[in-house]
Amino acid sequence: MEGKEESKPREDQERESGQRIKLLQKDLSTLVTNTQIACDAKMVLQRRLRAKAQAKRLAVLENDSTSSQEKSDEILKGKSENFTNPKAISEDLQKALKKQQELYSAIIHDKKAIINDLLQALKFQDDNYASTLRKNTEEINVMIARMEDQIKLMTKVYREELAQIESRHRQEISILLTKDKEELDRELKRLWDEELERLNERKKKLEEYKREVHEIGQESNYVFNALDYERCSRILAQERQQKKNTNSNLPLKMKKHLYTEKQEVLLTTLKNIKGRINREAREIEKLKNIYIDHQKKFAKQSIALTDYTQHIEKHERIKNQVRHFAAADARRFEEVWLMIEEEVKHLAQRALAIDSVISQQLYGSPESQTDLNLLLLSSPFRPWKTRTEIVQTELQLVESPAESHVENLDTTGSTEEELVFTDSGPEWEDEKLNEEMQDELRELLCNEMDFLMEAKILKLLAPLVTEEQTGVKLGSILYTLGIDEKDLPKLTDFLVRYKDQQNELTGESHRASVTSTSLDLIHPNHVLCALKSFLEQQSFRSSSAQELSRLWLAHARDSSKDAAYWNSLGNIIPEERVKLWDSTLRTLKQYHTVLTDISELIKEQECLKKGNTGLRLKIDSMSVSVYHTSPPGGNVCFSLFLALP
Amino acid sequence: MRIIIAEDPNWSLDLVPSLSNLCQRCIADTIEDHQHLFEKLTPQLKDSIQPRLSLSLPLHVTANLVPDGVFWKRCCQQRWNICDISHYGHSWKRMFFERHLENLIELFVPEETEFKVILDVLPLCKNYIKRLNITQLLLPSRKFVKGRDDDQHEVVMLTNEEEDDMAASHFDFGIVLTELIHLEEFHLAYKIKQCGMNFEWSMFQITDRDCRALTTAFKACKTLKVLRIRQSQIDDKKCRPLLRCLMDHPSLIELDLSHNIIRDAGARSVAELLSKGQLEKLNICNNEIDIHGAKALAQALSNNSTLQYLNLRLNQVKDEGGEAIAEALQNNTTLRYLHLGGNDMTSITAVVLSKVLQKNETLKTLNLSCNNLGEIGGKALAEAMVHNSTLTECDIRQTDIDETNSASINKAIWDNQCADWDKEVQQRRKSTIYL
Repeated sequence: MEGKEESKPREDQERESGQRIKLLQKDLSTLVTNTQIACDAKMVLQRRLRAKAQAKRLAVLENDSTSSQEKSDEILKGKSENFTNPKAISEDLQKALKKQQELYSAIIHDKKAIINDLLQALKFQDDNYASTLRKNTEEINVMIARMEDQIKLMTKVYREELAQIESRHRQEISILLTKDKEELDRELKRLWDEELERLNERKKKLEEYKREVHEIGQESNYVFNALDYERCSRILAQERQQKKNTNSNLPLKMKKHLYTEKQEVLLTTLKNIKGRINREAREIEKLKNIYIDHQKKFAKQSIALTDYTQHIEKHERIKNQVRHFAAADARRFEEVWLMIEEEVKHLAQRALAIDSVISQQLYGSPESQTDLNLLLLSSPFRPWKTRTEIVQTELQLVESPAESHVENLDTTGSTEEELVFTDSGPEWEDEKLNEEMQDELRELLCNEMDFLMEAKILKLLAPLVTEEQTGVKLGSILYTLGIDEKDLPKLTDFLVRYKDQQNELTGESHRASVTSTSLDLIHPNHVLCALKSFLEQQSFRSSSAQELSRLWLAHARDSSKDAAYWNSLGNIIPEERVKLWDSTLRTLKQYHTVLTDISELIKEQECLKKGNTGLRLKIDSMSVSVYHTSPPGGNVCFSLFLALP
Repeated sequence: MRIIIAEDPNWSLDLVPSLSNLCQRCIADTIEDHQHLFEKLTPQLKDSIQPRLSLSLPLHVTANLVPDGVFWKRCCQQRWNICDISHYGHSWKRMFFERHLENLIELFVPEETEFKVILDVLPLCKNYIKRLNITQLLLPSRKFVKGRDDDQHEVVMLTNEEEDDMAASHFDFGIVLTELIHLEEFHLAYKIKQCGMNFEWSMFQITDRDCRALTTAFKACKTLKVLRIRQSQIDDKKCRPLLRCLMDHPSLIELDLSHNIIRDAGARSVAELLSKGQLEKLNICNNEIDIHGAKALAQALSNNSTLQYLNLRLNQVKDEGGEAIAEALQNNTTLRYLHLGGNDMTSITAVVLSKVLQKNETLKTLNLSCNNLGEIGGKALAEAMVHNSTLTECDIRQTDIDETNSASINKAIWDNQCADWDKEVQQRRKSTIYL
């Protein structure tokens, strides 16, 4: 009923919208049809005009042909007159000829006039045609523009209408769906309830019948007993018969009668039960049919959904691809990052080396090469970080104040690594002792690891019994540490063995702990270290799990520190040093120019020297020649000359 | 230490495509040589391979192998800008083949193009073509070259050639129509789209020999339902053999001979076809049918029980013909659409028609535009419309009917329309409820 009431306004609405659209369509299409009809009207007009022109033309041609026929008749008549009258005078002939010629020229003139008229009409029609063509194109253009506007308007209106109708339908469908579902649920529930009730009734009845049967059985037992007695009594009676010969058949008959009656009653009740069962089966069948109908209805609706599933499949495929690409990108990003980091580090190293060389050679200061890693910030690129690691860092923070443990940690560091975790499971010597120890260990763990839990939870737990407290605490601690509940025995085992190892290392105090009441329990202060090493081992084992998570963590990595990191890499050589380099470069350049000047001067000097030696050689040779040719006086001169320099 | 990154920056081991993908690609690449592989695929896989197929594959490979789908969509969109699939029964394949064959025929130059071109395609596309829409038919080119050489003799040449040579002109549809076993619609227009300065009347008309060829072709095509020959200058002489061969056609339903020059004799043969055939739609608008032709048509109409649509727009039926047709409507109970626009009718016809309208209960659309009906006719029609409840469209523009009458007519029409819609909506609802 409700559905009908709801659907009424919807129908009205639909009808209204349909009418509105149709009206709009009509109004809009009238424009087009108007032009069409205007065209038709024009066409009709044109036809009429054409018909008129045709008629006119025909009339003109008719006139022309009749007039020319008359004239030609006249000419022919004249001709025949002339030719039939051979005695005619030449003047007459001439006259006749003239007349004929006039007539001919008149005919020709008429014809020409008609031809001219027709030509003019043709030209006029041509112009008309061209102008109409032009007009038509203009009109067509205007029409096209108008139609485009209309199309726009129509599409807009249609879209709005469509959106409205769609939303309405969608709402209705959802409402119907939910209603149907509710109805189905209700029906099903009712069905099951009825079924359950019936079953209960049957159960009750069954019990009743059981009891009845039991009673009957008991009765029959009594009967049997009675029969027994009877047999005895029969024997006795026979004995008695022998003695008395009285009738003993009567009680036997009575008993038999009773027995058959009972049987009949039982059979009828059984029939009743059978009939009821049949009825119930029929009812179940009916309900089943209803259920199948409902199922069919839903199957129909689900068919409509298959299309969507196809789209969803497509979506899934694309999703997979995207995930795939993300993984690939992450990996490549990592590779590229590491490579670039390596390269940049290499460059920085080289810069530092060069710096040290420069300082050594130029300033003579034996400045040792600074370590790159000291200057650098730690790389912000930590590709993955799991929950256990986070916990470990937390542990580190907690440990730092307790210095004594740190020492312990250092000393035991090497042994921890050697301590191989066995998967084969703890080998217990004494189960009972073990359980106690485990409980105690648990308590210890809880007490020591309190800091991992939130204060709120601790407060909440405070009023509980200690045992419950430990249970809850242990759970939360294990969760925060990322340890599985199953690994708990392993952990305890590890703690015990850790203790043993410690004792072996330290040697002393072994005795004391053995004698102590807490058995082999680990010292509370050592729990942290032990737990940490356990976690490390665990993390090795669960590295495959990390593999997966890091893909996503790499995606969501923190990029805030990147800039600082790269900056520190870029500024590995401090600003002052760069300035120093610049100034050195400048002075070196100056020095270089001076040196080049000097080298040039040296070259010049050498040139001069060469010239000098050449001159001297010339002088030598000249002096020799002079010596040979000149008179002795000259020789003196020469020697004097030689002595001069 | 350095990590070597491949030359191709997009390469990564993670991006290796799946084997099924590779197989699909391989099948798509080698479909020409291994058609059986493609045939064995499931329909879903076929669909997924379709976007990969090369568009340059020869038609004889793809025609019967690739089912309707993305591949044909791509083919269509590559060749034509505008692809409205709704005109082709929402089948891309049908659209491709129909337009392909249409293109071939429209560019076919008789006596020059080899007929083999069409014969090759026919067996491939005969299963998919349901409609042929031929919008132009070329003529042999040599005639026009000759004509241009000696202008003075052109007229003489033309008259000579028209008798013997020209008759052999247009494309012969005989083989095409016999081959296409599913053809239902056949649209023809004997004209040339871009003749430029070579214009001649002979380019725009059907010839006697074409007529003869068509008659034999129609006899072979048994599935044809719709025939449309427009703007082809069909006159009485050519009309008669054409219609005579359609007289005992088993399936023809719709005939459209609009924009020709059919006169009374042609109209008489159309009437003959009407009385003998099973036509449901007849469109002979913009012809030159006169009083006698209209009377013949009216005679046929009064005895007909199949025709639903009759279009006589832009003829010269005049009052006598109009009266005859109106009276024929008294006996007819099938005609739903009648167009008598632009027929030189006056109020006399309107009066007769209004008498008929009061009784007729089948006519839904009536168009009387561009007739000089006048006030008397308008009044008669307005009175008739009061008693009519079936007519949902009545066009009385350009008929000189005064405003009050036209308003009352339009009001009656609007009421009928509203009643019609309500009925429709109710029917639809009923059908949905039964579903």
